[in-house]
Amino acid sequence: MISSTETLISVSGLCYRNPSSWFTRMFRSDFILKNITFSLNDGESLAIIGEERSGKSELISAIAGLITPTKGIILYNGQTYESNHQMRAQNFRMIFQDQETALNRKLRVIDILQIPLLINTDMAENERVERIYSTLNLVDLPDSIATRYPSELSYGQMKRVSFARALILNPKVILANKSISSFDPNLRAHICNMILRLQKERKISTIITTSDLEIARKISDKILVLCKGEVVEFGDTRKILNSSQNEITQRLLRNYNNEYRFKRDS
Amino acid sequence: MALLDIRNLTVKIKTSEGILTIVDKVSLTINPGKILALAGASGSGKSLVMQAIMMLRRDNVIYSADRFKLDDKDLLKLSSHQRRKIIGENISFIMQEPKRSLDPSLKIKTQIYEVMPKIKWYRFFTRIKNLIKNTKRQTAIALLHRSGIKDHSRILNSYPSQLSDVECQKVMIAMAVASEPKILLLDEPIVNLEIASRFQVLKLLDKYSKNDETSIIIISNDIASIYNFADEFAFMYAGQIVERGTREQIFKNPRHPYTASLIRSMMEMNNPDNAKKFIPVLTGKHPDYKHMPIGCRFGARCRYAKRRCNNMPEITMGKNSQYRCHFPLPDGALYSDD
Ligand code: SF4
Repeated sequence: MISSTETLISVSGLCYRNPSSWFTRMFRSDFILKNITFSLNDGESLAIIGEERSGKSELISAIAGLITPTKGIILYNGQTYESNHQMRAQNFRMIFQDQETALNRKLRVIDILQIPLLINTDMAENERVERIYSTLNLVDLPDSIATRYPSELSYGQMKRVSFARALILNPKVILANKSISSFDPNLRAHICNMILRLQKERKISTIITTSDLEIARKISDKILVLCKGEVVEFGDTRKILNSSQNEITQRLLRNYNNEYRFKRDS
Repeated sequence: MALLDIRNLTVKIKTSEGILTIVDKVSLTINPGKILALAGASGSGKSLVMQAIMMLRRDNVIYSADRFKLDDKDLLKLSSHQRRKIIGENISFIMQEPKRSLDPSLKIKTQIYEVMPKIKWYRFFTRIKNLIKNTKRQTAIALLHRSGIKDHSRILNSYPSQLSDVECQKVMIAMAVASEPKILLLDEPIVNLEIASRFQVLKLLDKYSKNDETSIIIISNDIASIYNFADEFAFMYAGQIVERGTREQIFKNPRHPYTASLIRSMMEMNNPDNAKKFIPVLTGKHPDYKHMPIGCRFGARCRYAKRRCNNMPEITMGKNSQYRCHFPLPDGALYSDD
C-alpha cells in the first residue's frame, strides 16, 4: 500500500456483503460492492452516480465508517479507520438524507451544533459558542436561528443546519448521501454556490451520491459510475459527462436527458 | 369546459398563535387530459392546495372557496357526505413518499384488492366467489402490467418494505388508477427516485393522461425534469399563485420576477460552461406566514419593486398567462442581463 500525503482517500479492493446467516450465505453470495478501487487526491470532490441498487449508499456509508466492509481497505490520509479513529471522526463528516429526521426536534439549533464539539473536543464554553456562530455564518444562516427549534425552520434552513453540524469540527471531507436533491431551482443554486464556496475558501472536499447530474457537474471534479456494485468508470467529471464511451454511462446519461427534461437549445 | 374549476380557494390553519391564512385565493382550472404542474419553493402551500382539492379533513385546517366545480357539479352545494363520494370516485391522490403511504403490515396483494371496485353479492355463492377471486387477481395483474410492472407475482406477494422506491411508486399509481379517476393528483412523485426510474414514472403518467384522458396535477420542485411533461405551469409563492400559463409562454416570456428568477436559476444550472462556477441567485428569504407583508409578497426580494408594490397586486389576465404583478417583465427580459 503506497499512499502519499497527497491522497485524501484511497479505497482498494473494497467488497461488501449484507451481513446474513451462514446458511443464506452458502447458497447466495451476492456482494453489494465488488472490488472497488479508486483514490481521491487532496482538494478533489467526488460524485458517485449509478442506477438503483448499484451500491452507492453502501459505498458512501463504508467511507463514512457506518458499515464495516467485508474485504478491502479504506485509507484516510494514509491511515486506516482503526488506527486513527479520532482523526477520521473529525475530518469526515456525514450529512444525512432526510432533513426532518436528521435533526433532533427537541433540541435547539445551538444544542444540535454543540454536541459534536462536546464529544470530540475539549473546548471552553465561549470558544464553542464562537465556533457555532462562525459556522452559522459560513452557511449563510442568521445568528438568530441558534435559539430556534428545527420545527420552526424552513426546509432550506434545516438543510443548512445539517451542513453546519457537519462543518462544525472543521472537517476535510463532507459526505452527503442523496441529501442534495429535491430543491426548487433557486435553493438548488444557493446550495451549490455554498458548497462551491466551502470548497474554494475552506478547501473542503465533498463526496456525494446523487441522481442529479447537473449538481454533480457543478460541484465535483471526479465522477464514479457504479453499476451492480462494480466501478464502471472513474474519472474527470467533464470527460465522463461529455464524452463517455462506456455503454452503461451512456445509458445513464440518456435516461437523464430524457424527452421530458429541459434542454437549453430546445 | 373545464373538468375542475376552483375559484378563490383559501386554506387557514389554526395554530397556537391564532389563525394563519396559508393558501390565499388560489384559482385553478384544468381541462380533460391536460397536465398542470404546480411549482414553487417548499413552504409555499403547494401540498395544502392538493389536500384542499381532496378535502382531506383535519381538525386544525379550514377550507373555503367561492366555487368548486367538478365535471359541472357544484360541490359546494352538496352535503359533505355526497361531496366526499364524488371526490372519491373522481379524484385519486398519490402522496409524497410512496413507501410511507402503503401499509407496511399488509401484502401488496391485499392492498390492491382493497381499492378495486367491489362486488357485493359474491358472499352468497362460494363457487362464484372463487371465480371472482380469480378475476380479482387477474384485474390486479392487469393493473400492475399497465403500470409497467412485469414480475407481478413477486410484487403481489411482497410487503412494501421488500420493494424499491420505484416499485412502490408504480404500485401506488396502479392503485390510484384502479378506480379510473378523472383527475390524478401527485405530490412530488419523482423526488428521491433514481435517474432511470424518474423517466419511467413520468412516461407512465404521460401514457395515462394521453390514453385515458386523465387530467394530472403534479407538484414538483424540479421544474427542469418535468419541463416537457406538463402542459401548463402554475408558480406559487407565499400561498399565492403568482403566475400561471402554458409552458411555451411561461418559459419564453415569464412576466413575474419570481418565475423569472426560478427559470434563470434552472438555465444557469443547465449550462455546462458553468461547471464549478458561482451562479447568480435570488437573495432574501420567503416571508413568514405570521408576518405577511401587506403589499406584494415578493416585494422584499424583488429588484423591480417600486412604491406601488405596497399595494397587493391583483391577478392580471395576459394573452396566454395570468400573473400577479404591477410591473410585469417585458418580452425577452429573461435573456437580458440587467
Ligand atoms: S408587484 Fe412589484 S414587488 Fe411584486 S413582483 Fe411585481 S414588481 Fe416585484
